[in-house]
Amino acid sequence: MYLIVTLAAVIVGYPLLWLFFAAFKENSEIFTSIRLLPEDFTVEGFLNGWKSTAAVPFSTFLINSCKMVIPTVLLTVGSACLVAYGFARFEFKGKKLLFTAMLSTMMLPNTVIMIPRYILFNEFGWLNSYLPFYVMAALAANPFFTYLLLQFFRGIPKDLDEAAYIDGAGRWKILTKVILPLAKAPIVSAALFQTVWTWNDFFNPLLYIDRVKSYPVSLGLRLAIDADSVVNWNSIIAMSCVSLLPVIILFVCMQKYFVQGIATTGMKT
Amino acid sequence: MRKRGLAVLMAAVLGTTLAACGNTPDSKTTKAPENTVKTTEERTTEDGNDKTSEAGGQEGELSLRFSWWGGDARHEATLKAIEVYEKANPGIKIEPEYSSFSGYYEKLVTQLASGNAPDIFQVDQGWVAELYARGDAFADFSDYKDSIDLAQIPESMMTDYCTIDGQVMVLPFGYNGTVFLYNKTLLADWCDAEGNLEVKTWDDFLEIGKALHEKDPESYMTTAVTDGYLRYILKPMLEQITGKIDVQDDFTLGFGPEELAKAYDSFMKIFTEQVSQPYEEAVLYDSMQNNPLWLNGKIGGIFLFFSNIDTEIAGLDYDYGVTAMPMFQDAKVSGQECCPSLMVAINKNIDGAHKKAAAEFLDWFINSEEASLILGTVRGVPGSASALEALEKNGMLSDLMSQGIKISNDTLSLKNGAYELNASVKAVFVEYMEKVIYGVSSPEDAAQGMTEDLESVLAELGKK
Amino acid sequence: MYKKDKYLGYCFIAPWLLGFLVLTLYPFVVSFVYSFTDYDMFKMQFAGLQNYIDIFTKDKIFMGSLGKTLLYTAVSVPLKLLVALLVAMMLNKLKRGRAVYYTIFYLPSILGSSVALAVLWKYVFKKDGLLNLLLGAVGISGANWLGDPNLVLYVMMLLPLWQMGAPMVLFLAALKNVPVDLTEAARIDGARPFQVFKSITLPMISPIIFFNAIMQTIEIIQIFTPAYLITKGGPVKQTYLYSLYLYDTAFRDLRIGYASALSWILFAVIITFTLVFFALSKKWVYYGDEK
Repeated sequence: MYLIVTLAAVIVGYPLLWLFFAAFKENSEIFTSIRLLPEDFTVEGFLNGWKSTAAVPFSTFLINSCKMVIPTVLLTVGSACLVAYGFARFEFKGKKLLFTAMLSTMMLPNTVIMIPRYILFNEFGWLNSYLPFYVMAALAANPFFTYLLLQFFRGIPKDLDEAAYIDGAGRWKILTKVILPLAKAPIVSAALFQTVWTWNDFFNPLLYIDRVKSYPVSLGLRLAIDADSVVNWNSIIAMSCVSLLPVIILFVCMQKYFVQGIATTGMKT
Repeated sequence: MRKRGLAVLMAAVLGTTLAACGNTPDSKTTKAPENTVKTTEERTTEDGNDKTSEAGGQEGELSLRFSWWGGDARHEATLKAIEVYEKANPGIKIEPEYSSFSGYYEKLVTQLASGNAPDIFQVDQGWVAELYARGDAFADFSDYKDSIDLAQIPESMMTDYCTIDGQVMVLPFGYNGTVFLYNKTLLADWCDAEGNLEVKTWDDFLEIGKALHEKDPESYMTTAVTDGYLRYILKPMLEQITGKIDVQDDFTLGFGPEELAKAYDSFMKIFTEQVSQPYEEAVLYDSMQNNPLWLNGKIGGIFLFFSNIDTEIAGLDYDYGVTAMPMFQDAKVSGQECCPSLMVAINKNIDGAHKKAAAEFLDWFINSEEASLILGTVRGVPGSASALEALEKNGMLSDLMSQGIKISNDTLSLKNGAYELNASVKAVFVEYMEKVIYGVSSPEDAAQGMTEDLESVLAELGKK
Repeated sequence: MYKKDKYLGYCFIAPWLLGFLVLTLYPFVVSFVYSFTDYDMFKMQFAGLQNYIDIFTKDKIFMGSLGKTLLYTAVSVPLKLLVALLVAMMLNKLKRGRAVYYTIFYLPSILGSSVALAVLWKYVFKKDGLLNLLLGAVGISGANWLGDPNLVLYVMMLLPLWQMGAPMVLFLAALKNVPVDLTEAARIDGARPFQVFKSITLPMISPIIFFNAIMQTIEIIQIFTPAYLITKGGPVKQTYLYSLYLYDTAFRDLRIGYASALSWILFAVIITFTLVFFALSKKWVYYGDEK
């Protein structure tokens, strides 16, 4: 078993390891050599990239990304919990229709939505801030998260709600005291996915943000890539690695929430 | 802790969106949301403050948004120039909005469509005709003759590329011509006593290429990126055969299927005779800087714009030379692209004061010695005569680049058609070129199909 | 049994409802209207059904692009789900070192569509790349994976497989929710591992299998990264996936009306699949809240 898992991990992980070491290579070695380890280790890529990527200190991009991502993730999780609870545990007129409408918003390619949405945000005066991201998150605009939590909520037996209700708990308390504690793993997953996706999002920030000083890392990393210029790939790769670091740390920290599932907290069916 | 935070947050969401809904949860949790909401509001106002203070809050200050794309060197030099200009002109603030090439056009057209485009923006020569025809995006520079010296731009460049319907819509940052940059070290056997290579005709080119590959099976005479095979080899061959601009300004083609098929036949020889690196290997790299053969000195030479010479040999330890493009024996014109590459425009939909300030800034940016010395060749060899002179005087052009300019200037060539480098037109060229290279279509079928598709794309473009 | 909650449900879904009405509905309706026009971002002209007619009668690219996209989806979605589930099950069984493995398998997904991805894929799959080096070591001479028009689409199918972190995490979360007492009781009763899996684990995680299947189908049918970032749709249009065609039509050719029509056709395709999925789901998906 460990043999198989390790083998799979090597296949998946080796290219990433190569990428990591590529950050320590000279520019031309990255594209000419197949070896994992650099011939001469150079940390120049890290130093130059950190000091300035496209004339901006890289830390600016990192801070911007945090400013953009953290509220977005919290709002996404909050709104998704509410909406999912609404769909999972309440009966109301037009529920099926609304649910279908919600899911169907994922099915129209983004390309043609981008332009009218841009015009809308321009009208609202939200361009050049992270408001488009915050508001979309607060208003559960990505049904992925809502539907994800909905699927997990539906797996929680209704008997639990009803028992709590008989004990005098209101509907709000049922959500916070019964449902949410049982859905830790999916909530943490949702937060993780939103972190990764927003962190990596390229086209939306590209459209909404004009000022380079407000660029998140995903845009900052591409600033220096130009077919007609000398591209310092080692510093781009180095900064890619640096930009992945916060997300990796977050992932490692959150792991215990996936690992302790309901099974160990003693839920009975 | 975590759970409470989540509850507070959700209550905030519920609170903001649902204040009117009667059935609010018990009072204990409703207190919390107000706090959270306030912090969000604070954040937004903070952002708002940011905006006003950055975007020219001080009274009497005029701020100009200037967007361009490029790499590190261009960004750094441009920012430095802006800084110098701002110091000399305290009333003016230039807001830089720069990015990489990918996504720039998409963003620009979206901004133009919603009336939110920057005041000054860099454009590619291939976009100008279409953006003018569709979007009416450009202000007329000739209205601001007092603010900007237009006479520094060579007359022919002005008429061929900058003026549409009698209005000066764009000005060139830099200009370019195609030359052959060769590796003297690798091609030593074929160079003359002074170490210079001469490839007058395509036959010479093929001869040397074959001999080189025979001598060292790892080496090839040339390689290119997809776009390069089209613009530096196939299209020049076609123009050498026809002696005409291949996509003309009246939306017709300067060639017929037979001439195109003939060009394909010659073009394919560089692959069948193993003069070029196999296309299926070359296609993986989007720049010479990623191509291992080029980096390892295994490529005889590449066709390129003379402005890019220094970039392509940066960090490489070989000896290089430049020479003119090969031609067919009976060809009258070389087919090289000799034209301004990066251009700049002023947004039509801004007020007169901004337009005037933009023109003044561009006059300094394009023509002045001060700016030229900061900018060097980050936007190519300057189109402005005074800027070029400043660079030459101060020895800021490398020997190879100076040679390249001279060679290209001495070569007889046609102007680029207004729609020749249009992205939709180019996409059709690339599609059929690949079909021929991969043997999916015969040159004759591809010539037929490509002519038809081009005609329909041009009809679409001509519709307006 | 609950009292007076006829409207309470609306309150909870209100954030989404508001967002839908204010932020989503408008772009949707607008793009639908665009699809019946000749719109180039600057000028608009009513075109009736012309865009749709042209797509089905004149368009030389549409069919090939849609076909490749459907093939791509049909192969990579089931494979991605299978790989994600297998890895999740293995990780679920591990006693030690789980955190390390978990991180490794999730890492490619964190990389997302970073620019480094293109560098990485070319390093692995080019003619003298890593894969061919390994194949060479066991005496197989490898192909030019990304340059060969007959192979490139299949090679690109590996990308979502490699980036299967999201469904894997969800499978793991679902597997954690399968009560240990249930599976153990069955095992004590003498059920074989496969039987336990089939009759207990599988039904318990079926809502998440279903969720992943739907979401991955929706996502992969619109996949953009491999074509845009790595192959640019080539060679010879072999990886010219639908979303890239759409993107080029909108932003390169500035034919927004036509691109909108292409989008709505894809929308119809996706929603058909989804409805079929939902109809079939009644047979095999079990929810804990059902009685």
